[in-house]
Amino acid sequence: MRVDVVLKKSRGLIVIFLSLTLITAMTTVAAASVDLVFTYSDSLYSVPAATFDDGDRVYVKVTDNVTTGAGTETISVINDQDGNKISVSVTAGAASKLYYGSFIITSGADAAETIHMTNGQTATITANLGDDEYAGTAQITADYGITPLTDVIWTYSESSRTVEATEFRDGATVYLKVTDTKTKGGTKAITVKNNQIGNTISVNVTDSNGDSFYVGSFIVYSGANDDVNDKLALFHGQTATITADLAADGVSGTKIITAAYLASTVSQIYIKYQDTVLYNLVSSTNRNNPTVFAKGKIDEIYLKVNLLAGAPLNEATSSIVLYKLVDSETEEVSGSQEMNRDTGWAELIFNLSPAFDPDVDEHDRDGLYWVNATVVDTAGNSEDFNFYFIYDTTSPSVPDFQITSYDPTTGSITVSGTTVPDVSDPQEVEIFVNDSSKGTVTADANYQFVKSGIGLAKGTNYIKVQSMDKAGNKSKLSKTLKFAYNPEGLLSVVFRSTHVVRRDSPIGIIYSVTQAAEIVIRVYNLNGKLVKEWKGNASPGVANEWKWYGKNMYEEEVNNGVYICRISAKGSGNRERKIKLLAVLR
Amino acid sequence: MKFITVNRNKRCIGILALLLSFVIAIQPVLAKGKNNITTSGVLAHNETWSDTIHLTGDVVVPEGITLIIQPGTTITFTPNGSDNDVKLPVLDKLGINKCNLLVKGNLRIEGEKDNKVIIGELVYDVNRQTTITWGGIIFEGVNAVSIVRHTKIRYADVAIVCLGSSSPKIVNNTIAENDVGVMTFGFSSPRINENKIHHNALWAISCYDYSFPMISKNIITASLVGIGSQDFSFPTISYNTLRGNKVGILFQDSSGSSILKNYFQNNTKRLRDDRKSQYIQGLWLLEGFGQESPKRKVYLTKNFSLL
Repeated sequence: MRVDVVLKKSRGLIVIFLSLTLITAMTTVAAASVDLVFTYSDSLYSVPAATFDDGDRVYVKVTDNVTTGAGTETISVINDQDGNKISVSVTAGAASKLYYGSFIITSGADAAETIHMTNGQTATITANLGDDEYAGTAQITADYGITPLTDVIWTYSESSRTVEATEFRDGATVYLKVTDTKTKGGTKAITVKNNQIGNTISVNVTDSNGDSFYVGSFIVYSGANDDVNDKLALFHGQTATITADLAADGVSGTKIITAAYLASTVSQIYIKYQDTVLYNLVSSTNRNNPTVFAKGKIDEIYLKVNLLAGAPLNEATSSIVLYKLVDSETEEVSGSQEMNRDTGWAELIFNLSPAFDPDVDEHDRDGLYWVNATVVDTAGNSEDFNFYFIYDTTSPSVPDFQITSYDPTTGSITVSGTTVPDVSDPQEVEIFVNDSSKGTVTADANYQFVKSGIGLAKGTNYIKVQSMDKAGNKSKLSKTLKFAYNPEGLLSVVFRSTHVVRRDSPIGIIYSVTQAAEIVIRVYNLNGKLVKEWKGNASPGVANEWKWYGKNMYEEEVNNGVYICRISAKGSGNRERKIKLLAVLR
Repeated sequence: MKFITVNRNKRCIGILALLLSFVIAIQPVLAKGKNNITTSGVLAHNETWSDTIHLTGDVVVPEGITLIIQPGTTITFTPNGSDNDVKLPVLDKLGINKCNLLVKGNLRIEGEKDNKVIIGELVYDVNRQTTITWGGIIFEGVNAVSIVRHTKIRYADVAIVCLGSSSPKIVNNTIAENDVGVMTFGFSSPRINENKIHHNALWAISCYDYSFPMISKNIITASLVGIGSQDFSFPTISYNTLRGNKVGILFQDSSGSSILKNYFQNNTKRLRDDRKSQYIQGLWLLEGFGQESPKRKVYLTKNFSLL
């Protein structure tokens, strides 16, 4: 019995102990207050959700089973990938210890209660009601329904984007085309990063056609980085990675380009005489269209190059030669080479021997010339440079010209003509009236020129022309064409076509007067005998026509032969007449 | 006595002075020019022209006077004007207000093959939209030693007119771009040899009443009529080349000709006979000329005379 009592007491003590322990444990759990975060897709907080579409509102319910009251607490949302973070307010609801709030996820920028997330990114919601050491979290995922697409990038050396290239010269423009096959429209930013130095520029590419192909360009060069002007600092041999993610779907495409700069570049290329620079050949690199037309004495071709690879000039293997191009043949021009070098540059000089001298050469030197320079450095880098120029010391021939029209209202004429083909075409034709220049006009590809609006002086005008080729050689002045211009003349007469009466083809005599006048037209034979007479009146400013059918006063056909036609106009106080030989040949 | 003598002397001096004054007064009317060159008016004595001469009006070489024009001389004329219109024996109405060279004495234009004399320049009349012509050289009188050689005569109404027994030699010239190249009238008998006569708008050579020009070895091209003969003119036409004219040779009423070995090419009509006489047409012309052939030289193989 005693044992049972003891056992009972022991059991009671154990029960008490256990109860105390349980109570203590329960009390301890309630005081810990770990926050619970629940996310929903609806405002009733009835549909739990962990993934959300672009622009969706995320409804959040939070509790730590302790904190209660009518106040507002703040929780945070942080983009797990990009690190951007917003704060969201949660407010105590009707039920005790429960707090409610919401925020929006967007592919756009962060804003109040709106966090930027791109497709596939996750964000962590962290709540710590009561601000104790037991925060709680929940994770959501942005699911915009987009399948991540890998961007494809092409690079080209020219703006038409037909020639793909991955190596670019110093200062070259890298033309881009990018697509992810889905994204269309607008302008997107892509990045270009120097893989060695790490400098980066952002380049805008635009889908101007709305066809999902985005185009843009940037420049690689050996200067300083210039993000504003889309210039990436990239040095010879370095690479750059172009990264594009048009949809910002987290799956980007890349393309690597390489800076393959010249080992040397031209700094100066001149034609000289006695150290005086006469012509700059730097842009005259097209054999079929040289832009430099030289004349006069020349004795030197001077080339200065920048050596970019750091190695000095190899004088033994470098060269500069001048050729004369005759049809498909090349004739080497006699002369000697001279080379000077220093750190980073070198001079290659071709001394013409004998020098070109028009006074001596008698135009034998005239022709197309080719400067060929090969620049080799001691590291083995080699560059070829070619320049072309036309040497022309011969004056062009005098152009033909004529008057093609006359404007009586302005007293001006139009002069047109043809230049004689020259090696330095097109020629520029200067027109002189009474030794005063009336301007120049350039002949077209067919050697034709036209200049209108050339004003005349009252009386006799002496017109001549002179052409100048592109080398600056001038033709002789043309023969003078003499013109009489009488703006105040009473009578103006024009014979239509040739002044011959043919069978069924009369002579048309067109006349006009500057004031009302009586007109008399008489036709005489060579013996002075009157054959035909006609009288009439003319008003000013009207073109009248009288036709002679080769008949006499009796309407009989006159014999074939030469006749004299006299046209008289008698106005108030003045009289004027024109006389012209006519012919009849039926 | 002495007084009378003195007075007589004074009278003589006075008369001389008056005569001198008269001569001086009329001189500008007769001739205008400088350095002994008459550029308008009547030559008072023999003259030799060289370099460039610009005539302002009709110039008359009177009988007994010789005008020599040296090689390389260029002669131009005032366009549409003449400060000395003389009455011309022919074409008088045409010559008004134009410069002419009227030769009653002798004219020797002595150009050289490589140093020609140039007469006439192209002057364009913008109001009339045509070239301005000058009159021409008119030979009148015997002027047997007159010659025009190695001269380029252009832009005249009629480059050379021969009349009144004139017989100048017209050789080795270029006569072009005139209305008419050469006209011959009454009893003139010029020798027109070895000239290039081309692109004259109307007739290249036109022969009229009782003129007897000798026309040989000329190249006559691109005119309305190459050689015309009418009104009792009797040109001798031999060894000429007539090319590209509308009518190579044109005969009209009462004219005759001696024609020998001329070469025709690409004339629209090689020969045209407008004379009324059936005898002339039937007998001589059909025998005298073969068919035109641009590929084959066709010569007149039969000499014949008409009238």
